[in-house]
Amino acid sequence: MVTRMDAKIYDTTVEVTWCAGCGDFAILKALKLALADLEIAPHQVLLVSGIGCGSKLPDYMNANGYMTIHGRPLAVATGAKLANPELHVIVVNGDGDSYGIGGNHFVHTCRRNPNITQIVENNQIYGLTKGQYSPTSDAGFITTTSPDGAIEAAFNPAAIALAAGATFIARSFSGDPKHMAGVIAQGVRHRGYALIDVLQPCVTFNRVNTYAWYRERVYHLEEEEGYEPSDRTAAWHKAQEWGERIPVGVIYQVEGVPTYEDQVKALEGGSPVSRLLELARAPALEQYESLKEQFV
Amino acid sequence: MEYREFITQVRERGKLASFEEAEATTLSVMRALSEVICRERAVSMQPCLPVELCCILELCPPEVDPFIDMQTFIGWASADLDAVGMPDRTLGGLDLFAVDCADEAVRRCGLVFCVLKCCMDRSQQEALARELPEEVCDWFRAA
Repeated sequence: MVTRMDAKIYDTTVEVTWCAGCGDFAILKALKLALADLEIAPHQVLLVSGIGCGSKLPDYMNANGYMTIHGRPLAVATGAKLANPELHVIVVNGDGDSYGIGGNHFVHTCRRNPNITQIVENNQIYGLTKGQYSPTSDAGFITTTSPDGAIEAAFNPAAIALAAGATFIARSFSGDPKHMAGVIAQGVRHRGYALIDVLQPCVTFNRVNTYAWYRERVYHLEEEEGYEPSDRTAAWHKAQEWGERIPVGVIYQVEGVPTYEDQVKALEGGSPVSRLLELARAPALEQYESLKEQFV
Repeated sequence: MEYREFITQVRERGKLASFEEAEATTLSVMRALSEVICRERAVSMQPCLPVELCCILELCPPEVDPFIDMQTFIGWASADLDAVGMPDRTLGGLDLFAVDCADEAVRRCGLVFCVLKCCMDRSQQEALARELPEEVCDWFRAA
């Protein structure tokens, strides 16, 4: 009999300190649902985050967690995956941490294709530091650091990930937790680097990109007849869409591309963790053989 | 009940500063409701609600997301609440600070629910309550 895992297994008693109504709540819930749906146990998961409101998420989940310095979770996650490829390594960080401070790591993770999943809590603003414009803020967005409106064009995560060679690129909206849980599950199942950019309102500092703003614009790619995520050209066009209509769902996916860890020669004899475990087991095996000779 | 009377009642019950504030509150809470009720429920509520509010309920998606909980509901319902305080001068900067508006958001949901219940009979209230996320259902029943 197959027993479905209950998402409650990921619950903790830690008090959540996000603002009431924050889109991060739905992301937390969707991640728990996705992992439970995939029947992945908490000890098999490593959540890696950076600094920011969303990066507090590992504290709120019963799983292995690692809060790194600002912008560096992808580097740490890649290292963790190389050390122990058995782990499901999931990076959870905000748009500033991922695309701003960690922008360099983002581009190079896309081209390296480690078998990790990244969920970006993209609220188009720096929330924890009280409302400065972020890499994904739209041009003209007024904040304390852009009193005349943001000058730069917004960073386009999907287009940049596609150009840099990412093998799974998806987007979801925190107002649709069921859809988001499905997309996260697809990302975790994908063998290679999976980017899931989640559009989420910051209910305190971003009063432009609200739940209603997103609801008026998002549409599901799954419902678009003929859309094939393996079509790179079609994905490129979808990645450019922003403004009046915003596509959510799997924008691009290509399978069968070797992962970074597949190609590291030093791992051919096993991962560092598996070798350590072997070493730890060896004396026990010798002891066992010796005892067997004595008593059997 | 007429639209203007509905908003006035929300304003009076909540001692809100203006008609416009009460109206914004009502529209936000109704928009939140539209995310968690099915189309059939929205249609069944039409005879007892002002047409302006029915239009908002009609925005409900074709399929209700069963995982929308009280936090997402509050996110929709508090869209009009000012959640930013004065510049934080303790550090000499111009940074704003966040104001915890959870209690106020829940109170305002209660205000709108209270007037909404006045427009509905008991069976309609029960049918609506059954479709609400758990905690939101509690606020509705308590209103």
